[in-house]
Amino acid sequence: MKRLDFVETVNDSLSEELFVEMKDALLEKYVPLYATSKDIYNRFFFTEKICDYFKKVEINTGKSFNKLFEQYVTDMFSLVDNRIKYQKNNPTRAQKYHEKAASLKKNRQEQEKWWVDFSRIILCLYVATVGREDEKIDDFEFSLDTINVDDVLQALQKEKEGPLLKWAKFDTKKPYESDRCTFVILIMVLYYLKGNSVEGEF
Amino acid sequence: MEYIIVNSIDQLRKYTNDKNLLEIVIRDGKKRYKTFINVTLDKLREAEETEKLKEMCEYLNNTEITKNALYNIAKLEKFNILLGGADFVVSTVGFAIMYKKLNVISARIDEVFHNVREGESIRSTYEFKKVLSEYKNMLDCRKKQKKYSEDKMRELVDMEYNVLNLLKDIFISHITNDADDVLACVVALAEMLSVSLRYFDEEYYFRNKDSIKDGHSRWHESHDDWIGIIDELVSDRFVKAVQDLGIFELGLTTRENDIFYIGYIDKIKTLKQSVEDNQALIEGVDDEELFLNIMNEGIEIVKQSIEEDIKVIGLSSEMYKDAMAIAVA
Repeated sequence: MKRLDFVETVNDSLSEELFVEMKDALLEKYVPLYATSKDIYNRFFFTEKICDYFKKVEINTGKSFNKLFEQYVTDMFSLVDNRIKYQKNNPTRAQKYHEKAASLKKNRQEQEKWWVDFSRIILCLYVATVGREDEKIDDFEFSLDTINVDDVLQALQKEKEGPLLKWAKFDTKKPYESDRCTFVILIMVLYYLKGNSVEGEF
Repeated sequence: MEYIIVNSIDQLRKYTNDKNLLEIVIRDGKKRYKTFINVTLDKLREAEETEKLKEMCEYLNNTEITKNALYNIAKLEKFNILLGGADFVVSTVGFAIMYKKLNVISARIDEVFHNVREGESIRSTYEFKKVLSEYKNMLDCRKKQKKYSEDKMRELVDMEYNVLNLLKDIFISHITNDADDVLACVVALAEMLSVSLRYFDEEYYFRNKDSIKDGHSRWHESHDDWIGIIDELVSDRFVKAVQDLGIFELGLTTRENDIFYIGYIDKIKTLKQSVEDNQALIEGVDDEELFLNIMNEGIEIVKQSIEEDIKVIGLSSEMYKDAMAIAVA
């Protein structure tokens, strides 16, 4: 995955309204600005800025964009680890979708935009686990409406890991480190999903 | 007989539906349906068309309109229910195409029924094929204007309802490998049920309204049950099964699946709405002859009678052109 392709793919899918929302969510909060305000960024400047950001992360971490994107995938997948109820004889609905996500990750060469389906499934599963971290879920809501950008980010900031769950799973203090980059990619993926959402008549 | 005196467009605004259209039915001296006019009071076009609309108002003031009918009709959600003549033709042609397809898969569906009955000891003699052929028979009778009695119609609705119930349960419980065929039949049956129910409601209402005491519902006792099944087809549980079908059996991407299951929900909810709109129309019009006239006349005929009326009143053909342009907007 090339960084420019990813940014342009996301950008092209957004209406003006959603683009402004995504810009507001990303600039200053997650992508640092030093001399400019976020208002001046139209789609072209924004693309340039985000690509620059990713390049800085690549240089700082020594990982290619491909590897950084892979980190996003791994981080997302690990979010719902151990939170899905697995049954041998009668697979739960959550289990079926979780297995599907795993298959998409493994056989990614089969589908160009595999990461879209993967992200959608994992995020819907994750939303179902929020507030129920001690349980294993057997079902979940697959509708895109259930994913709220702010709620997801808030929940992610609270995620813990380590032997006594003492440490924050995502340390987003340093802007050019992998965790912050995962957040940036995640926000862009979330808006991509919203940009391609299907509206019913009712 | 109530009259409304209209001096300005604003007075008409409260009678518009949610599409900002004013739907008007006009009767002649013998209370027969004469004219059907659809007028838009779109604010954006007001400046241009004020003059023309003023003339329309004058025309309306010269004719009798029942206020209640007008108000109730204006409350309807979907405008096209009033052009039910066209609707009927569309539904017959549409059904003929569906019928061929359904006939092919009906043998497989009945096989599923048979297995389910064996496995779950369901005492049911309902067969999908039987429903299909009886529904076709009903449409045929209507086309030839042959009598299809209220009792026969109720039996058809009952049969459709029961088979639909069974199919719904089969789909949800994932006990068949033909899930996509079952879903196609569910949608087709739901459509047939909504059409049959509309026709039954018409029969039932006009046959029985005078003998039903005040305070009692003017619809059949089972009406809520029949329409209730449509709600079940868009229940959380059913919709999840549709999503699962798309992802795991049809191999759709998440976006394709969204189009699939959301399209399905829209289709089913529209069916329920068409039944409820029809009930509102029946009650609003409350006159069988008028109602049948509305149902049986297509757009062309409506245009013709508008033309006649305009000649009678003496509006110029120029004005007619302008009025028609507004009306069919």
